[in-house]
Amino acid sequence: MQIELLYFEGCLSWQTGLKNLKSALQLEAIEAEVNLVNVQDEADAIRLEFLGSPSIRVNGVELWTEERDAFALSCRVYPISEGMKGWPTVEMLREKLRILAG
Amino acid sequence: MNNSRFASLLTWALVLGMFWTVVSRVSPDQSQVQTGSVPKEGFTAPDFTLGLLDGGEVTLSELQGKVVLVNFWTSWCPPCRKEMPAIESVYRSYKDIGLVVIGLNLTAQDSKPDVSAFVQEMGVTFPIALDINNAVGNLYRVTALPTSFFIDRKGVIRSVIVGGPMSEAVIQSKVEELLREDQ
Repeated sequence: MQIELLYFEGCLSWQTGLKNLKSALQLEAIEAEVNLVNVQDEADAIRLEFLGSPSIRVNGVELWTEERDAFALSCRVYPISEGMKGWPTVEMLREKLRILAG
Repeated sequence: MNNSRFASLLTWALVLGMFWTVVSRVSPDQSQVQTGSVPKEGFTAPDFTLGLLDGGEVTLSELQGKVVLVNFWTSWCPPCRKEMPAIESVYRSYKDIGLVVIGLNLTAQDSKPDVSAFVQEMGVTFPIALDINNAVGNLYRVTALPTSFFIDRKGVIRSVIVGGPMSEAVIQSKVEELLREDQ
């Protein structure tokens, strides 16, 4: 399983996203390295079709995909049960990983 | 049900679906008003009422007749911070001829002291609405910050920009285009 976490240094929420991702992988007993992809500027954002920091891709597929016409640097927010946060929760990640592990 | 009958029904369902998609969109050149409120270009902007940082409140539907820029932001979001001076500059230039800017802070992910400090530091003069429970963020299906909605005089969303920072030229051109349109 190839896992990438795309982030933008300015939005510090990616660090919590990474921590949660590592916890989810451990809890699901998935051994995989997380490859960090630093989205540095708008050109990177367009090239990588960046949906905001942090975004997580498994085998090249966005875990939370959405339609966008244009791509730019942004801080991503995720709807969670208590509202919105700048990262997906461990449970949200576990659920996605379980589906992918099939 | 035989295969040809099923295929025929499926075709009709697809045709009707496509027809509905086309007729339910509001063309910028038409005076037609979309009755449904969806946070997408071509649809009526979902209404909301929020408290303001400086007291009082703002209701979007009461701003019909004005061009409205709703900018979702937080103080910890670097592209939000970067584009704020450009938004402020455009606001100052056009507020007297019909532009309203609502800086919609996702306060549930921010802190009021940080918001106040940032607004003061930047010299922001447009109203800052506080979305303390993410209700409006959810209503507008905001998935990234900043996100900006450009709303015309009829209350229809005409442009959505996700991410930033928006340049002053981009904001200005979008605002000018909407201000030129008749009420």
